[in-house]
Amino acid sequence: MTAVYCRNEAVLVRRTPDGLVLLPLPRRQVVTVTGAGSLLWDLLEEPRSVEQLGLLLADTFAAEPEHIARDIAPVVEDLAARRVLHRIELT
Amino acid sequence: VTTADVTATEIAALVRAVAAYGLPGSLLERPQQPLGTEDWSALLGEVRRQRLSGLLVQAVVDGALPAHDLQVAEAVDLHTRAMASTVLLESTLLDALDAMSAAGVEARVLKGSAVAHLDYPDPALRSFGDVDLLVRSDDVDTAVTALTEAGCRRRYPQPRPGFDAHFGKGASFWTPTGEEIDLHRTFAMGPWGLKIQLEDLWSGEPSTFRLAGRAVRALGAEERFMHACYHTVLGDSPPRLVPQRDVAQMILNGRINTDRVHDLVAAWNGEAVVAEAVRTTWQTLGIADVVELSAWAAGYVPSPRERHDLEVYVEGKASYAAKSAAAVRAIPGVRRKLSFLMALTFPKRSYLADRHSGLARRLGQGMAQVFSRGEAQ
Repeated sequence: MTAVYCRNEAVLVRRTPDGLVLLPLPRRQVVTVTGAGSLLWDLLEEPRSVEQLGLLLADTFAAEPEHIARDIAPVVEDLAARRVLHRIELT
Repeated sequence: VTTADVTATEIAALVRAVAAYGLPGSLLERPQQPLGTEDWSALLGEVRRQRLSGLLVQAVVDGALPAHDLQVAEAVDLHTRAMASTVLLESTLLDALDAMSAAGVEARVLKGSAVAHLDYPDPALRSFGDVDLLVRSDDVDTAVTALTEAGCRRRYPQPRPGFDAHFGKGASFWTPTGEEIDLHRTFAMGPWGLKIQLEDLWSGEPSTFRLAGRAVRALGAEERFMHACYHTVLGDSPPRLVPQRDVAQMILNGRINTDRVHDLVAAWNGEAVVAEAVRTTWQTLGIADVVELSAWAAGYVPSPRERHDLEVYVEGKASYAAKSAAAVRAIPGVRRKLSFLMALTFPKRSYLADRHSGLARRLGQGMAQVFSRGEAQ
């Protein structure tokens, strides 16, 4: 079973020079993301898997897609746990 | 390390330059070198007070305001905190709109969040410190009940039942999390607020913006501009920089219909307010460009009565009594004038208990002013 991730629409957002300020609703805690975190938010306007994100970010970070996917997987999971992203299971 | 040395007066001028950053036609100058530590701290403090962190950060990132790495980091940190505050306020805004909706009250978002999303190229450029909602006069009491039942605490009770819906600017609340919600039925207390044709605020097409996936309604572009002008001139004295930036932003982004603005100005007898707002803004932000509204404002000469009614909002001359006295003239009909005066002269005990102790004396002074003017006429 694989999963894809996408933005939770019910999030209040502001961009700052070094990232994003996010508040998932219902309100609990403000989340700030910097660096690759804001790239992930941009890319997850439509649902994508961690592997697809790795492919899309490979050029930006000049690294192997598998390597990137491995690095961003915990970030994506953390953002999903904080309700910034939705995790959608694909059967 | 090379730094620029500046005086306190120059810091004030620099804050105005920050407020004007990105506006076409502003001639305000910025330093060519990073500020020294003390000057930078002074600038940062004033930027925080004036809620201008977005424009400061933009100027620094664009290289228009030279800054050392540590200064850049401090500016970004200040701005990130301001943005955290704005998203928290927007969640409060959505909760308040839910409370209005559940009570069957139609509301429009005013000022901060609406202007940030609708009039600026990036909402992060416009910070704000509270939530402002407009409701119809007939809905004020229902809206007050809805917010109270949602756990908000009213800052001051109304002087007498019915005052909010007929004469007041609105009501102000603290939320359980310590944020401020201002419920408006008009833009200002006193004579200028009472002259606004409130149906105009509801008859035009509302603007819509999205918050967390939800469509939220605000005033139309021209009504937002009128509110920015009233806020500039009739709000804080001296006027804060953010509403002045709003006035300039709305004029120079080319999205307002000036014919509609002139129609509203004429209907509300608001020529002196709007002309003063535009003139003040053009001067404060050093805007050299002449556009139709700035040319009209520069040429408008207020009458002695208009000058007097503007002066009751100026620091040193402004008082609740003076505004009340001036307001009486703007209230149509003898019966309504008397009702207004009765509410201020014989307020409920709970109203006096919540206001500062000198209010009764000042109300007395207000009555004296009203009657002395009446006798003189």
